[in-house]
Amino acid sequence: MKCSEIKRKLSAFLDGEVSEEEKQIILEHLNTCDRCRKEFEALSQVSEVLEVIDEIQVSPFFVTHLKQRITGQKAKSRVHIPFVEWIRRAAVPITAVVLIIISFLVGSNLGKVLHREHAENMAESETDITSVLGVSSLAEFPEGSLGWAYDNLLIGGE
Amino acid sequence: MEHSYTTDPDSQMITAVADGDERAYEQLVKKYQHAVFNTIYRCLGNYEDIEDIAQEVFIKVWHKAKSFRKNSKFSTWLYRITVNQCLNYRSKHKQKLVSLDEMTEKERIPDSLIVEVDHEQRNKAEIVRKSVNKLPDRQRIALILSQFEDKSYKEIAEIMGVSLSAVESLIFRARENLKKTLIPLRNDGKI
Ligand SMILES: [Zn+2]
Repeated sequence: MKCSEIKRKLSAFLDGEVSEEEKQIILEHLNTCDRCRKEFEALSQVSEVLEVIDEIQVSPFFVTHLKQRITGQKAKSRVHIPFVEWIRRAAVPITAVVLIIISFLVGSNLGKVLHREHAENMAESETDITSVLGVSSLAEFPEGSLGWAYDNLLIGGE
Repeated sequence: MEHSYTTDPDSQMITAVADGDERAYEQLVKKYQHAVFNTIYRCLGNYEDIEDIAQEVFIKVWHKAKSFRKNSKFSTWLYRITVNQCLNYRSKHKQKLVSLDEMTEKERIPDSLIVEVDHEQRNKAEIVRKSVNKLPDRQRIALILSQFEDKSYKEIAEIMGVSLSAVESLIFRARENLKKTLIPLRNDGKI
C-alpha cells in the first residue's frame, strides 16, 4: 500500500476497525515509514487530548420532570425552569435591584452633599433615607476603615 | 440482523414500554439518561437546553415504542433519536450559536453540572470542546459516538443512516481537522 492509502486507514486502525490483513500491512508499514508513524502518533495524541472533555451529571429531578410530562399532569400549563437556568435568569433582576438600591443611596447622599454646600445652616433636613437605613454618610470614619470605604462607595469616592 | 433481537438486553423492556409499562420505561430512562445527556452535551457544545432536549428524546421513546423495530438494538434507536434531536436543535439555533459572546456564555458549564471540578482541567476541556464544536455536524457526531460512546463503526453507520465507509471517512476527517487545531495547542502546553 502507498503512504496515502495507509494514511487514510490510520484512523480506522486506531479504532480497531480494520481487517486482520490490513492490520498486518499497516503495522509493517509503520515499522519502516517515519512519515506515517508520525501521522499515527499525531492521531493518537488527538484521541488522548479529547479525553479531557468533561462529563456532565444528569439533573436530579430529570426522571420526575419527565414522568410529569408523560402523564401530562402539569406538562402544558407549567413551564419548568431548571435550577441552574433559574439562577442564571434571576441574576439579572437581582443585580438590577441591587443597582437601583445603590444608585438610590448614592443619589440621596449626593443630594445631601450638594445641599450642605449650598445651605450649610439648614441642619433640620438631616432625616433621610441614610438615617432610616441606619447608615450615616456624615459620620466621620477613620481613613482606610471599612466604614470609610463604604462611605466612599456611597458618595462615589473623593 | 435477527440475532440482535435476542441478544439485546433492552428488548424485553422496550416491548413492555410499548404496552404502557411505566416501570419498564423508568428503568430504561435511568439506564440511558447519562449517555443521552452527555451525547447531547458533546454534540451541542453548550449546556443550556440539555435537559429539554433529553426530555424530548425520552418522550419520543415513550410515544414511539410501538413503532420500534426489533431488528435493531434499542440503544441504536435511542442514539439515532438523540442525534436527530441535536441536529434539529442546532439547525434551529444556528443564528444564535453564531454570536460569539453568547456562545462563550452558554458554553461555560455551571459548576453544579460538572462531575469533576478541577480548574486547570476545566480550562483544557473548554478549549478542546470548542475545537470539537467547530467540526461539521456529521464529522462531530461520528467522532463523538466512536470516542465517547464506544460505538463500533457498524453501529455508528446504523445510528447515522450512512454507509460503513462514510463513517470511516467522517471520523478520519474529524481527526485530521482536530489535528490541525489541537496539536499546536498541545505543543504550546495549552492543553
Ligand atoms: Zn508511509
